[in-house]
Amino acid sequence: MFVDGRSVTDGDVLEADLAIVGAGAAGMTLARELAVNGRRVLLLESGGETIDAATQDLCAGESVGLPYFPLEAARLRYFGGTTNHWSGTCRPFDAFDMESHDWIPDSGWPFGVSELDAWYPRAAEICAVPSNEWAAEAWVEASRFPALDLDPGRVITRVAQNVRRINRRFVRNFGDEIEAAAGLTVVLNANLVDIALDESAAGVERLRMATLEGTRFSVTARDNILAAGGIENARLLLASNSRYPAGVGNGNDLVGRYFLEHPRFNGGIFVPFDEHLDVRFYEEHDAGGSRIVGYLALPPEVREREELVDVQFRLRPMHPAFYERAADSPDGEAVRSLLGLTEAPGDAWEDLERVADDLTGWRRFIAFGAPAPVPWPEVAAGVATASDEEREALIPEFFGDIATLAYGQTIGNIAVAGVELSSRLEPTPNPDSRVRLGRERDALGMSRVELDWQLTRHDRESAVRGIEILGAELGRAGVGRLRLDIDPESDDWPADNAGGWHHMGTTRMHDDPRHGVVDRDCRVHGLRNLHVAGSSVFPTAGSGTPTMTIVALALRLAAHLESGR
Amino acid sequence: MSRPTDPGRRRLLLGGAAVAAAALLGPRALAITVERLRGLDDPAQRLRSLVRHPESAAVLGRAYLAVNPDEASAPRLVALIAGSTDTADATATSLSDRIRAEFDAGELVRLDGWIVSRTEARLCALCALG
Repeated sequence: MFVDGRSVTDGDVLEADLAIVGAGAAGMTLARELAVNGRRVLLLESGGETIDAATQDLCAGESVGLPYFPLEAARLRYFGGTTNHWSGTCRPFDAFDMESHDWIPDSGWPFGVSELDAWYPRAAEICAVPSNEWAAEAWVEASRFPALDLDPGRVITRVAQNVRRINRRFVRNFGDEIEAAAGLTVVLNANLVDIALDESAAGVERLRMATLEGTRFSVTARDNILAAGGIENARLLLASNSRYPAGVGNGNDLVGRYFLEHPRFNGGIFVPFDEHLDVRFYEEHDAGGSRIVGYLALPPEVREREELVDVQFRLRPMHPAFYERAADSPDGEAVRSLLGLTEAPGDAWEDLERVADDLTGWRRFIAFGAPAPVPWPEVAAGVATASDEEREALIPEFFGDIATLAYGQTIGNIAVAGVELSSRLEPTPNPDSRVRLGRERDALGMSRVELDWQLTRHDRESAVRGIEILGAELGRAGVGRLRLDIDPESDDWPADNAGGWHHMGTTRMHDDPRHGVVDRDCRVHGLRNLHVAGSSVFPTAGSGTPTMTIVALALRLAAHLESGR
Repeated sequence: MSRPTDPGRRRLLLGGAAVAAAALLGPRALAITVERLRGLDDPAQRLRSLVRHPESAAVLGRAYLAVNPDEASAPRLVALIAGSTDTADATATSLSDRIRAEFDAGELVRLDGWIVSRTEARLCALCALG
């Protein structure tokens, strides 16, 4: 059932067995799992069913550290949350991602990956990932493209799966089910403004809610879960400071600290000796019923020996100008749009028209009246006898951008003039990288967020050393030569350094309250009935995307709460 | 979320990359026959003839000599590259093997960002002195 928070009477108290704040990947997963067996669940969502500017403005804040995206662009505040705009890239954590390492301060989870492995298959289903196979070898076998022949003791290939655009939105996949669930009420346009503690301060007495229209009401529940995202979870705890100035769950000044985000930037370029080096395995493509993309990384033994954070490299081949022009052309955009590969699909009919027009452009060169339509003799002769290089020029000239793209993807392996390397890093846990309350207030009277994203010198050293190791291996294997494009002597991060909209770590998990905000069961230390869900509980983040792990942790938390019922 | 590189910047990167990488040895470069090399009198000239684009190599070579000025002499570089082996024989396969071994052992230098083996860097330096 859906209820509009704006229709709740001022001063009302809504009662439930469980209150979940935030209807994103974690919140929706928890609601689906726990609105069973007669349990009454309230799923409280700040926004409505679609985006609106006034609610979205509540996400705005100030960024005072490393340059970052506008906070109101990097997050979504309506039903479905960030699942309404995520990239669909999925991969579970590896064992190494969750282990404690001497060279990474504050690393290590309270449990190992085997505990999440129990939940990853279902998390994959929920995220609409077609396969729970993650070994690169299996995908190399399934793919029609080869992986680079590199020494796996130095550089490895890993695989991520990309969920198709049409399957990414949790609202589309689960909205009807959630609406029909007997014990579940979704309250839209309902903003948490204060977590009120009981007299003992050992439990949550009520959640104070407000609408932008000014209505104020409360929610009382036996259990409460914050699932509002990696930045918002921290802000809500910090802003609930009417009783304790530091906020709720913040007796050790940890809430908001250890903000983790994955830095990514162009780390270098390599030029292959063989211009027809096949790197298509490292571009998004169909294999084994899924859509995969390979990437390069350092194996655990290298990371251990060199004392590095996880570094991965996405490959972006650069082709001769004719192919690049086709890929960047309106026809290329139309193809991608129709295949669901672009962020902003165009008008489907216009895209179809464009593709059809281009594909039928060959008629200009066809000799009609012959037994079958055949190309003009000189065109046919030219294409048939041309060298590879000439053919690559003739195809776009005579057959248009669509044919050029198709040729590159299917028949021929378009020459690779160079390969750009997008470096992505695991961030070192850093207490000085943090979310704080800002000076400005939002329309609800709450402090806006201030983000101070920081990375460490070790992160940067790992970035440089990782590229050097890759360059050495590409040279040893006779693949080509690599140029490092970040200054190894500088402390500054590259100008193109950006995050991935991954907000993690701000209510980190640790069994010791001196080192974590939540325990291994995601319960806020010192509070019997407040839990946190989502990536804010991550103590470390690996270098990959967090969504599958967010969902796996939500399933784990749901099972824990169900067992303790 | 990912942000594609500006197409103009990609082409600029590519231009620079192609120029520099073309300077270095690729597997095909070392197919030059020993006989042709023996036809060249000067050992330094023999070694320079292995580099496909000596002008481009010289760019990297100058960068190498800037931090290794003690190697700024053709005879010295020839000795370091070829050792005691006749330079014609040295280039048949052993240079390729040595370069691979240097990558294997991490005996590498960075020239203008390019990660190359020391022998490759010295070949470039030889071109810079040519």
